[in-house]
Amino acid sequence: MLIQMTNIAKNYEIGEEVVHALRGVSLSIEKNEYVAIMGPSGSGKSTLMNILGCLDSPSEGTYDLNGKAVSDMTDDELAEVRNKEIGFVFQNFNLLSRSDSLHNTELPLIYLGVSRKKRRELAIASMQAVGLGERMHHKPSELSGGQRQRVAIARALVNNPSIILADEPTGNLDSKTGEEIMQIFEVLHSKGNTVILVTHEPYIAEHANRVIHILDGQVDSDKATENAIRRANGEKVVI
Amino acid sequence: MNLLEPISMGIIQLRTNKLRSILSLLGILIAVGSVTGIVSLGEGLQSYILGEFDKMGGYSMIWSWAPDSWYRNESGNWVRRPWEEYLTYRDVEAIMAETNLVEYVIPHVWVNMGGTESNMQYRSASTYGSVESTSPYYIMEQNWRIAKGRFLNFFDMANKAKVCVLGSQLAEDLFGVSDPIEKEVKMGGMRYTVVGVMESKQFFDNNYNDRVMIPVTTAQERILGHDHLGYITVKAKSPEYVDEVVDAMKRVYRRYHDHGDEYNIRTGEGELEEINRVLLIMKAVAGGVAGISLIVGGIGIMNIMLVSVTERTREIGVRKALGATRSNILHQFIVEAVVLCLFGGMLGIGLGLIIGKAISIYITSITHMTFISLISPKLMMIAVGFSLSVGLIFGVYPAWRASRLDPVEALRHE
Ligand SMILES: Nc1ncnc2c1ncn2[C@@H]1O[C@H](COP(=O)(O)OP(=O)(O)OP(=O)(O)O)[C@@H](O)[C@H]1O
Ligand SMILES: [Mg+2]
Repeated sequence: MLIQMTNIAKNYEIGEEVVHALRGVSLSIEKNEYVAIMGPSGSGKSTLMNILGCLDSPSEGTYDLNGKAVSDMTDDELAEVRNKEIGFVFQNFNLLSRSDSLHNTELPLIYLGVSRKKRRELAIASMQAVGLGERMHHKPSELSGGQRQRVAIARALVNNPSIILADEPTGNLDSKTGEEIMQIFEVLHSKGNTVILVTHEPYIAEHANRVIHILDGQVDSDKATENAIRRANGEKVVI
Repeated sequence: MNLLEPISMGIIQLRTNKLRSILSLLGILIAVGSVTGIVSLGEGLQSYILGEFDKMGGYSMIWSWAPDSWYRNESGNWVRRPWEEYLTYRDVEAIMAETNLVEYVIPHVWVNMGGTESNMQYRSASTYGSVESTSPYYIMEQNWRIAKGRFLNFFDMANKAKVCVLGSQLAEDLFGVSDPIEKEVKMGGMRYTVVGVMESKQFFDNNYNDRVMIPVTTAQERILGHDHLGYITVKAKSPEYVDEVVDAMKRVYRRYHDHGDEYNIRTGEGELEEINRVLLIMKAVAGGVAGISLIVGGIGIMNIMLVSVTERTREIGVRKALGATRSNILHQFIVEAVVLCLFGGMLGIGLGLIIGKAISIYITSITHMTFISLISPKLMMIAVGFSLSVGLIFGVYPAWRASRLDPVEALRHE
């Protein structure tokens, strides 16, 4: 089992008031699954993603990643997990605005300690994989939204992580561009990556094999998508 | 992650924010610049003074004069002395006989030739000379060369000759372009034959060129009518003999005077200590200025780094999400501060060099002291070291703040 979460709760204290962002989420995700997380605004999807990505730690419950208990990890170990195991894609891209796309893509490799030359090679390969071979030296402000998200995906891929976490990756894109981005995730999944993404759009979720609905910080439903069922029945599905 | 990585990241960061980087390193630049300037001036001055001091045989020099003869301090009260003692030419000869470690002993007497506006005349020309009544060795003590004719000699001394040697300014004032040698100038109602003219020379405030030298014996016997000497200058054959010569002088004074122990004896070594003390004070003041201005500069750096951390909170969040550890972030921001300060320090050294040069050229032009500011590798290293430390000290806190940011909070930051 790649991901095993048991009774995860996350509380935020704001003064006297306690916000229960997650209240006892249990789920397990296997290697090479393609999972979409859906749910109304404020239901706790981003909170869950942050915990999955080891950016945040739960208030209660246990989280095992690759058989290792995340709550036992030190800060530096968490950083290492984020660096090697996880590739983040954010809704608002989160690129360094003053650096060109190549440098943005290289970032995770810097913290992995890869040599400058090797870094360059890997980053270029990663950018080519997302179809951005021509835009190496453009700054984020010189790119379209779709292109920015491609840079962010190239960056998420460059360390060859086992899990891609994407929090509303198409949220800031028009539907056509969003569809192009989804094609990239499709390819990643087909190459053996585990992909977990948050979306509000049912047609985006349909790309996945499994949809988890979150409501009020709890898992409301967790089932295979129609496409996955059709694929399981041997039908050829083109989205 | 090695050390080069944050350095190149720091440089990129500073380059992308050029104007702000330059403004924020201005404090360090000015601090290092002014201090480097002052210290390089001080070092230039020191090496010039020591050079001149050495050329004049300063390290081997001893000056001696009679006790201030009217009053002395007896257990807190100033009481009048019942005696009056003074040096004479006999002391000069006795010192030379007492030890063979002495190269020469030069007598000096103060004489007043009268006149306030002028005390020397040649035909209708007149001027004011400061009279040095001394011996032939005088020219050696002052490291001063003769331009024309000759200096005083021992025949002049023995004959109490009415001869004089002129400084270059006096020669020009009295004789213009014509040759002064063998001409007679009038001083204090007596005529002196000019036997020589000196080269032009200036050292600090000492203007040599308005001096006129006459034999000490002439001054004593023809003008003053007594055999007192004002002070004597003794040169040991080498600096290491100075202590022995001083002992010999004390022996002579005790032998010939009732209160020989009270004669003043000052050595070049002592003078040098004085000079060095003044220079040290100058450097200490520069150091104080350096300290204060570096702190001010450092606070500027800290301020800008804190702003930078706040501004780049989201960047820090992104870096953490991508695998940066706390120490990665800490290093990154410290290195940025250090690179900033080092850069400021380097520019400051350049600025200091220019300031030092400019001031030394200015001083040379108004005082004829031919000295140049000096910047030693040691001084440069100190300046670089200081700017590095300022970067470290004032960069730590902002960097620490950056490293402690919670990744989720940081990513949420607008
Ligand atoms: N740092 C925080 N401090 C206090 N409350 C927080 C914090 N982060 C999240 N919350 C609260 O937790 C709840 C879940 O937030 P979360 O961001 O996970 O929602 P979401 O499902 O991602 O919503 P959206 O679809 O709008 O992105 C919300 O009520 C939110 O106000
Ligand atoms: Mg969200």
